[in-house]
Amino acid sequence: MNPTPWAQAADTVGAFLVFLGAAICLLGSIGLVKLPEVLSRSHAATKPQALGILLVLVGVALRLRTGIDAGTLALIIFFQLLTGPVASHLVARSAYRTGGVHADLLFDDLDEQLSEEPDMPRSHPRPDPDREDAAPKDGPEDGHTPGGG
Amino acid sequence: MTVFEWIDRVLLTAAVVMILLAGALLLVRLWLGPSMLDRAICLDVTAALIIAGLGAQAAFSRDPFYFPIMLVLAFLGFTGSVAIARFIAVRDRPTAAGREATVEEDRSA
Repeated sequence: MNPTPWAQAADTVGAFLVFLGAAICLLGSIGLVKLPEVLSRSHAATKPQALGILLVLVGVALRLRTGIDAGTLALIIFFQLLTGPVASHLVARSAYRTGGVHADLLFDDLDEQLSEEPDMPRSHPRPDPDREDAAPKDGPEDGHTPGGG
Repeated sequence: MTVFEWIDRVLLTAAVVMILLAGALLLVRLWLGPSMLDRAICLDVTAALIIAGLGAQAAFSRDPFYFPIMLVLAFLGFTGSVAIARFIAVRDRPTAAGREATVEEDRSA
């Protein structure tokens, strides 16, 4: 039997989307090999995890064209987009705390928060002129909120 | 077999070849990776590549048989790298420079 033109177009567009997603997976892996340190490798690693998976699964949904398959694929995309940032966040946090990042970062807001004296109780903040100069728009009484956890 | 089906077949075969090549490059990084965190990132990308490869297979054969495996990989694939980042990488310090090491010891509770 001959497929209708719309079905044929959906097939070809779906195959092209799968091809594009696989190309993005390949680009992410090249970046993972070539980039120098953990944070930039994590930046490269998010491309296959989010955009590559998204394009491949949309292409599969265009080729299968069934309601329940599209629902399953939407669920896969949802869980992938939900769990990717969790792992990425924990890996980046652990990389920062074990010294796996370069010392010449352009922005390092976390350093001055972590380099403060650690055992200061929050109800009795020591008046610190450097801190007030650094963050002038915060209320000076309650110190600053500790970053991360 | 029409020309469009040939185009589809060529595109999907090229997609599978690129996913395999990406997996080979990932093995290179897994071999080289100086710290455990690089290997944890590789583990995440491996799960993503397995999902993409199964998706390409499903697109090629129009068969939703492997969709539950993709679903389980999508919501359990991150646990391995979370475990590495949480429990292993803290003890494994490849370049424990002075500032980060002291900060880590102060704040590691």
